[in-house]
Amino acid sequence: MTDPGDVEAECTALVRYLAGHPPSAYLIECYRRALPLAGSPAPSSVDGLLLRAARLGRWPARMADGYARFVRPTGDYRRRLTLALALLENAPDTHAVTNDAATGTPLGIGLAVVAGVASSLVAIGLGFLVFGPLHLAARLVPDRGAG
Amino acid sequence: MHLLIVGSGASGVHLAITALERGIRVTMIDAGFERPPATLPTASFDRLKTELADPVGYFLGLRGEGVVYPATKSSYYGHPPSKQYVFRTPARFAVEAHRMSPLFSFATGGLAEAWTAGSYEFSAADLREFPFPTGDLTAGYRAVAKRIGISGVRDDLAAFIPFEADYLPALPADRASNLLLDRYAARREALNRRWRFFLGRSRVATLSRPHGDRPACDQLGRCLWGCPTDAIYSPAVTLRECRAHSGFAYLPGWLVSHYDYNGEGRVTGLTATPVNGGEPRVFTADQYALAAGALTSSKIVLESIHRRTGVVERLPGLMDNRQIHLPFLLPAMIGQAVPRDSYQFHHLAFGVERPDPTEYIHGQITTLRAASVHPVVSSLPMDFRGAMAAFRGLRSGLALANINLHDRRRSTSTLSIRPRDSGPPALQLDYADDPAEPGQIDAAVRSTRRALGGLGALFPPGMTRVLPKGASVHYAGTLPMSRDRARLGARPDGRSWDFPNLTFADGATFPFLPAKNLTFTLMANAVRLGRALGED
Repeated sequence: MTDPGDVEAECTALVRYLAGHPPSAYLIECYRRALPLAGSPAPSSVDGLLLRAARLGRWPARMADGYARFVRPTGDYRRRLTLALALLENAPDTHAVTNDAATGTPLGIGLAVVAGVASSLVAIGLGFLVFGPLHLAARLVPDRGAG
Repeated sequence: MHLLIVGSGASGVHLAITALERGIRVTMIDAGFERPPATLPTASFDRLKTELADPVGYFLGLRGEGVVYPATKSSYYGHPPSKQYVFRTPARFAVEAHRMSPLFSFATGGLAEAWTAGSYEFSAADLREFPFPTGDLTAGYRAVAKRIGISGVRDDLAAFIPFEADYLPALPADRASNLLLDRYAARREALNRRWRFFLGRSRVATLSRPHGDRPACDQLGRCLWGCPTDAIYSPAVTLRECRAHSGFAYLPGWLVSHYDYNGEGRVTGLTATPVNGGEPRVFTADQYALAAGALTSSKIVLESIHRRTGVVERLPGLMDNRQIHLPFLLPAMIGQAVPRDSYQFHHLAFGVERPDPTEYIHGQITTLRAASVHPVVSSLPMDFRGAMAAFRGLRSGLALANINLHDRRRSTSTLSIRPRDSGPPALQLDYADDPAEPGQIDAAVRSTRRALGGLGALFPPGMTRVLPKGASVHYAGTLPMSRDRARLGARPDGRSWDFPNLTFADGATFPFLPAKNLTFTLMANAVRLGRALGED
């Protein structure tokens, strides 16, 4: 479970990753409120590893996300990202951008989608390269629960 | 005559108003958890997010309880916090369900407080096993449509879904729906012939014009969170009309546990306990009606019998519609603006004809305009950034086909009670899957995919969701109607074969459950029963 003092730092890291900017004070407070329900019912030490990595920057956060999507899809890290996205789509200053559909030519949008998928594949690949061995190493140590 | 009705859902309120129209005095006893007042009732979906002091609290709940977290094979949407009152259960109400995830409502208006307003008449084939002529329901459909306002058009679906009632004009269809309809018109014959697929407009209890004191749909986009104007019908509307009658008394805050009956089976009184605890009280009348929903009404019957005889009965034949969510993409819609301030529930319905007409497959198509982003994004096989980019780019073209399958009574799907040392007995549900169901699911998904594929839809792999049994909240079959006397069942007029002054007024009496949403038929049937009250 996240140290209360770290909630703001964690929320900031996740929102920067998802939206490219820091969260508002309102969003941080909403994150704090909802965090108790966001925890995975079956925490694992690798979730803590991924959450710590997310604080290192947007690309570490993305790589950790790519890895978690396939290895810990219902784990703490993915759950907290889900929460952060849910907050972004409902907060007054971010809901429109989060909810709006892209408008434009099919070609332009198609290229944007392909670019998004391609960068996702890169992130997933890098995520497995970096976190796979770390996860394996963590498995050799008795699990002490979520970090 | 004095009629005592248990429950304020779709069946109960239409039984009540019909009885009142005949001069019968009605008392309705109900748990009656109330709908909270509408928040900023004139604000649109987007305006709520900017004008509320705490929009996250409204849309997701104060503790984020409305967030749909990743889970394997879950649904693409959950019930929002503003609808949680619908599913709140009293502390003493215990359920033990096996192979089923039932939902209950003790709210004023019942489960229809959270419905999507689909209103479809049952056909002659659907009613084949019902012990009364099809035409007996037609008057009920007409009466209900006149009371509540149902919008729809006569189209290809009329071949399978009768169009006997008087309908308001259909709601304006969105762009994606119009695109599908135009393409269907161009390919109709091939789709009908090859896939037995038929497409048309949804019929919905949502007003396209003002109706009484209810306004037409304002396209606020808040449908999923609760219509603030009652343009989408809920039984609470009819309850208000009942309460305006001098012959009607509404008693909320009571949880009925059982009735007592004499040696001839005549009910002598109904026992209820205050929802928040307290001493039980007995309520008496000349005639009684259970309209608490198939599951709860059945529990009341079983508890009544157990209290008098010590016997725990088991009711076979529990039914529910299996639902399947089939997301798809319409590439032709990509790049177009998606107005969130618009009617959010389904604009289109479809049917797949089967060799046995009772196995007709029913579906509705919803385009995802104001639906939550995070459940879909978190389910895509990508990291969140990639998934968000993909979702944003493809969102205009995203849609969901919600497929319903029929169900039949089987002796292996049962409802019973388990007496406990303290407190009321627990309701026990054991649903046994039909061995034929996997094949039915495959056939339904295959037909729908191929037909919609013929209209330009693309289906991302791995995104079909078969919802758990119970998710449709279309429960039926535990106290079935029959022409011949049958223990723990109902006569064609809904009256119990065993308890002559007790009517079963909800879906418990349905001997078959077609794929079509059943709420309109529940209401029409309640009108039929109300008109028969007191006639032997």
